[in-house]
Amino acid sequence: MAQRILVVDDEQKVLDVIQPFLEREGFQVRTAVDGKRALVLAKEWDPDLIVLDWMLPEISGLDVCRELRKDSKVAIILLTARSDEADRVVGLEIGADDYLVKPFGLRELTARVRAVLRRVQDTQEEPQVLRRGDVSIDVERFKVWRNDQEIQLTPTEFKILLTLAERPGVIYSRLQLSRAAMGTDYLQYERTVDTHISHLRRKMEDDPADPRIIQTVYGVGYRFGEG
Amino acid sequence: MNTVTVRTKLLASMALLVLLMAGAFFTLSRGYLVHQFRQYATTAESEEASQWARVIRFYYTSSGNSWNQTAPILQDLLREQSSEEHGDRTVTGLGPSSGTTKGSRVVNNQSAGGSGVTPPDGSTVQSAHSATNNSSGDQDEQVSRLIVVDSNGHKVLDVTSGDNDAPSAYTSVDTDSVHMVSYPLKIGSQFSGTLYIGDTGPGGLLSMESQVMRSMTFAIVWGMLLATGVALTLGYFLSKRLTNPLHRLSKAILQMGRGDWDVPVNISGRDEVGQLAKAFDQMRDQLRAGEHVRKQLVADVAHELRTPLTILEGQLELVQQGLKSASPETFVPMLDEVIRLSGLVEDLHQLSLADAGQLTLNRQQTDLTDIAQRVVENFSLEAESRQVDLAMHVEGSVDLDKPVGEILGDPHRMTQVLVNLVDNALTHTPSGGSVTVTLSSDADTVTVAVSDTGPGIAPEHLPHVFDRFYRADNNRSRTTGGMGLGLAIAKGFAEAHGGTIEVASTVGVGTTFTVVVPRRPATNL
Repeated sequence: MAQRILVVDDEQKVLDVIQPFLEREGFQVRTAVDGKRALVLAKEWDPDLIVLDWMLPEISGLDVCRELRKDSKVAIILLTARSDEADRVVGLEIGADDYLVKPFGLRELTARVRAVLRRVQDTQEEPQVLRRGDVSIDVERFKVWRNDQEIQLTPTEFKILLTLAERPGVIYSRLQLSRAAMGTDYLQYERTVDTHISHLRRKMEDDPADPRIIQTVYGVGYRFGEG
Repeated sequence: MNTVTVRTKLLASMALLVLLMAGAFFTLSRGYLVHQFRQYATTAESEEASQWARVIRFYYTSSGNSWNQTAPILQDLLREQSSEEHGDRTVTGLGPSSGTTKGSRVVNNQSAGGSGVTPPDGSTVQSAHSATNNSSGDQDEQVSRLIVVDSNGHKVLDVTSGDNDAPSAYTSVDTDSVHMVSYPLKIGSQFSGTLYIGDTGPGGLLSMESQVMRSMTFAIVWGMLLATGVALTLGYFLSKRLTNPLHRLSKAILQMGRGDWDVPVNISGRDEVGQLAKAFDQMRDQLRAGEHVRKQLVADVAHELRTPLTILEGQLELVQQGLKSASPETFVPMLDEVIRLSGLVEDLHQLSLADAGQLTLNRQQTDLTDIAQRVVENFSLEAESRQVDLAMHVEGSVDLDKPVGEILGDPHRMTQVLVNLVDNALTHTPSGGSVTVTLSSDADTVTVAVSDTGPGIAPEHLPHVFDRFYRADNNRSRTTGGMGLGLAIAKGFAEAHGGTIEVASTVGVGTTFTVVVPRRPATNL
């Protein structure tokens, strides 16, 4: 059964981009533009996780969070436009399970949603393993096999590979990969992605000079080869 | 840290001052005293000399103009005086003849009982020591030798009070070996020459003088030490009083530099240090307020930029992931976000220009009535959809020669002011309410008032409504109001025209913004 996610943001346009993405990821998604409606939906619909914007008219996200925590253990991810340390601490203290600072990528949001759900629901699902042709990726344990042979990867290489492998055929720019693997602090080192890619190819490809798994799209970026 | 503290400097300068003053006092008073002594001695000596000259003249004439007969008499006189001086200093009469005149006349010096030499003509000889007898008990000055030299330089008389060998040592008049006083001696037409009077030696006045100097030096040195001690003690406490607040202040400043704003300075008093502390407190409050505004601004700008960026990124990602087709209509909302971001950047730019007083106004004859009319027309659809009654009133001009709304101003900026005010009023007015724009004027100013029947603004928020990004409702949202820059911009533009903007509000009744703009810019600009 699909997990239910309630997304609350006063900006309809934000909801418009989050909803289709999470739905594509296999979640059931409903939205609310204010705290009042969010509280009603949370009670009636009983979602597994709530993505909650901090700044809401009338009832703020923090108040909604406090209200929910009175009688619910629903997973909550706070969205905030503020990166101040104090804000994060407050958010986590009043019972949010995670927070995400705007602007954020939809991939990152999905990853957080999954992580929080796993952590909170403590459901021992089968270990999540991505299978792409002869490549298998254990998302939990950071392990990669090719033809049942384990390949040793650095954490950065693993994250780049995972990002590409999650959506075979989708082209990712170096910046996107850089942020996915190393966070926003390393965006100026966009080109180091090339180095990591060449290491990955040396470890995984039959012929690194003619890559099949990780393909270069000239002038744009990289993609995971489909089959 | 090896720094010289204010306290040290203060104490050192106080000690230095005491020393300097003592030195100056010592030098000046010493010079003055020596001068006085010398003057007194000279007067006394010349007086004594003239006295002796009279005595010599008397004996010389009475002994038949013979120096040889005069000498023994004078010798006796000197010896007698010498012995009497040692016997009784205070009351001594000196007569021309020791037998007849001794004690016959006693002349007391009024100022200081001293010995007098009384020649036959009745005048009084006051020896130099008469004045000093009271203050000094040791060696007195006495006349020990008398020498008379004639006009040709021959010594005609030389008598001494002491032993008879002494004169033999003087072969000539030697004024260097003893202290000699010269005095012109003229006895009628018979004689003309010089009288030399020798004192007993270097004692007398000189020793008196040195003794006074000694005691004076002693007194000054001790006084100086005492004064220095007192000054240092006093200075210590004074400097402590002075520097303690400074220490506290510098501590507070250091703490403030580390970001701790709540350091009590606790310095009262109306002196300079107290004023400094007060100024410091004011400065800190201003800095704190400024810091708060700055932080708020940074957070707000970040917030205003982050949301459009999130939307843009999300929409683009949807396209990238194939969840949305890259059709032209997909990009329209993205374009909107970019326009919104550009508008925000432009608004912030205009505001910072207004803040810096660098807003350039393109002034021309402008009728605010026209502008208001156009603004109201542009908002009429919006008002209709919100079910808000938007109306405009023009009140008659006092000066009928001029149109009500005519000013010399920048039409573009003034339009912006009205747009922002009407927009603000509309967004805060619930459906069924009304927004009214009223124009009025007098000879010098045009007034535009924008009133709404919204919920009003609580008094505690009223002073901040023109602050950028300020929202009475802390949970900002885009449904009630734009970015919170509109009123700040309206204020900046109105003030650039030399005008004012004010707000009055009653909770539950409504809010009125009033802009007053002068018809022409101040002429002194």
